[in-house]
Amino acid sequence: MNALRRIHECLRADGTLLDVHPQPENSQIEIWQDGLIHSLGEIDQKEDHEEIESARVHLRSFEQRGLFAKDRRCFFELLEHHPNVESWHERWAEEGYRLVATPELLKSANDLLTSGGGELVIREPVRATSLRRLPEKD
Amino acid sequence: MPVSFDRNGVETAAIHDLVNFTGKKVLEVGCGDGRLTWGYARTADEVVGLDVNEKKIKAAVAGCPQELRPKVRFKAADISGFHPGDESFDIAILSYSL
Repeated sequence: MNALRRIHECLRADGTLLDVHPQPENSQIEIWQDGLIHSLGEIDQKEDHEEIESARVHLRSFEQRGLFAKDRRCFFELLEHHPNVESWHERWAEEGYRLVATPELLKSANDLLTSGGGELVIREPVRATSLRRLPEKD
Repeated sequence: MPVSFDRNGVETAAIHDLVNFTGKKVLEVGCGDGRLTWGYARTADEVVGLDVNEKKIKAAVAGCPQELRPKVRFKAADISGFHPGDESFDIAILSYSL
């Protein structure tokens, strides 16, 4: 049984599903140092985008079947702060995320943090949607 | 310096803007270490957090603020294998768990 079907069963008749997932866009990498933001560019998350799009298609299929109806939606950026590049690598490996950063980006990040301290910040675009549960039709 | 997220509470504000958690019973699917949970659990009535990663669930249990412990439960489980029995929920959160 898939997750959305089970969630539909677990919700009360007038329940709400809140879907919070990244946008299919690359995250931006920055170094924050002494009040300055150094933008190092983005990381290639193309493979993740395909998974996100596929999950969206799945969610839409539940809307089309009349099991959920979109209520409201918003977009924001989730900021993840790391003291160094190793911390970023460790965290993403632990989460099973793919880290596809160019050697140049990683070197720039390392060089800046080693020479001047500060922190590495990942700026991830996120979409959150609330959906009303609708009763299953016979 | 430890790893940190959403220092300005942008994510927390966004979900509160979409859903009123006051007095609600919440099922969070993919709760991880409880990062999102702490942002709404204070206003909710009861919370059940699920994640397939047992290590994350242990971290969530360990990191649960004292005042939330009476109303927050965590379980290492996949939603497909979650059998709530007679329980039903007002809100389900599907978070970063594609």
